[in-house]
Amino acid sequence: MITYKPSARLGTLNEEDFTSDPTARGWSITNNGTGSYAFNGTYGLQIISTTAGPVTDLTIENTTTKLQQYLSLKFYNVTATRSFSPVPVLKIYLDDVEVISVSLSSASSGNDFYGLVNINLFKNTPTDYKYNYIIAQTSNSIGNNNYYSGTVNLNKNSVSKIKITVTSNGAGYSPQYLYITNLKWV
Amino acid sequence: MIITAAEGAFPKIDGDKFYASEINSFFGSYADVKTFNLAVTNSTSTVDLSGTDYKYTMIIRNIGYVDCFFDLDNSCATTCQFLPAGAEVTLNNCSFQNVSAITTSGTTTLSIAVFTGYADKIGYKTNKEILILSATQASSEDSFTDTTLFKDILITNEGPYEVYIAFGATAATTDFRLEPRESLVVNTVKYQIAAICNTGETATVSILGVY
Repeated sequence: MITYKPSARLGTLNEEDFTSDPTARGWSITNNGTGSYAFNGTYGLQIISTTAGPVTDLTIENTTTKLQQYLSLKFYNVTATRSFSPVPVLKIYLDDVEVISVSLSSASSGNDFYGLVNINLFKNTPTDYKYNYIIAQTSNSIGNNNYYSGTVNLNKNSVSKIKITVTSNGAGYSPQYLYITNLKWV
Repeated sequence: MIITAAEGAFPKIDGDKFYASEINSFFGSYADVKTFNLAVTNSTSTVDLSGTDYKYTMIIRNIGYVDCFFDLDNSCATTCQFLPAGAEVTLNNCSFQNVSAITTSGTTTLSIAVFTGYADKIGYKTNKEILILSATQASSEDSFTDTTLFKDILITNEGPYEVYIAFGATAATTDFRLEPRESLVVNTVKYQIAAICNTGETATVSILGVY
């Protein structure tokens, strides 16, 4: 007789703030884009897009532990994205599957953009992510210098690779920064 | 006429004997419990159980946070039996000499408990076969080499998609559905197992047969 018990636990909560190079903590970061990145001691992993045709294509991957069951992403924007045309587009991929694509629409004036406020992703299978998100209203209090966060319920599956791209091919204020400020996973 | 099925051999039929060791295993009563830890990496690692006598039952639990694969009395590859992180499998009425395991990447730990009795028993399962089915939208089938004995069978869907399981030559999407990382256990003499996925989807199914 065989008895089988599936995992009954959610596991422990892991957290990475990317305020320093996380390589020694089991992360690999690959940049296949023309933009650049850096580690900011306050805000985390800084994605830098410059003016002329820049594209960041950043893959962050935990090389020691599969990200399982639950994922939380927190972003921080500190630089104006106004007057970009076309507007920058933020995309998030899990194991090379695009799960969200959001235009970081800039206001015609001021420093705001329509930001990610709440992402709820529900994954039934690796290519069947179901998600919804809310685009914040533009105002002087939302957008620049604000945090945007969301969670991913992986529904018993797991991912090992997170890819984040910021595409901003138009001219405008430069450089622009978007930070991955906090990543939590179980 | 009393039919005397071998000790540890199942299923029983009317008139068969139940042995004390079998009844004790139902109640979880054993003479001793030996415990082992196996550190698992992307290279096969093995825990040797040959020094433990009178093995009746074994629990293998993946206590880490990385999925792994395990094998019995053999070195392990990533084409062996899938054991998700946090999952546990109990093999009753069996006696194997080692457990090996491997991860695709990363590390985990297997916590292993071996429950023992007071004497050697006969009829306990010492054979195993592992089948790997790559399921697609077209039904595929694999068979155990042994086609006559009842086997304890563990079927696990490694994913990434749901799969439908049949005990025969052909599966349909109306057969038993296993979500990714779910398992099905059964003791049966059926030796053919078929699997099929929904259109455009695939899944890997690992199947352990112990007899």
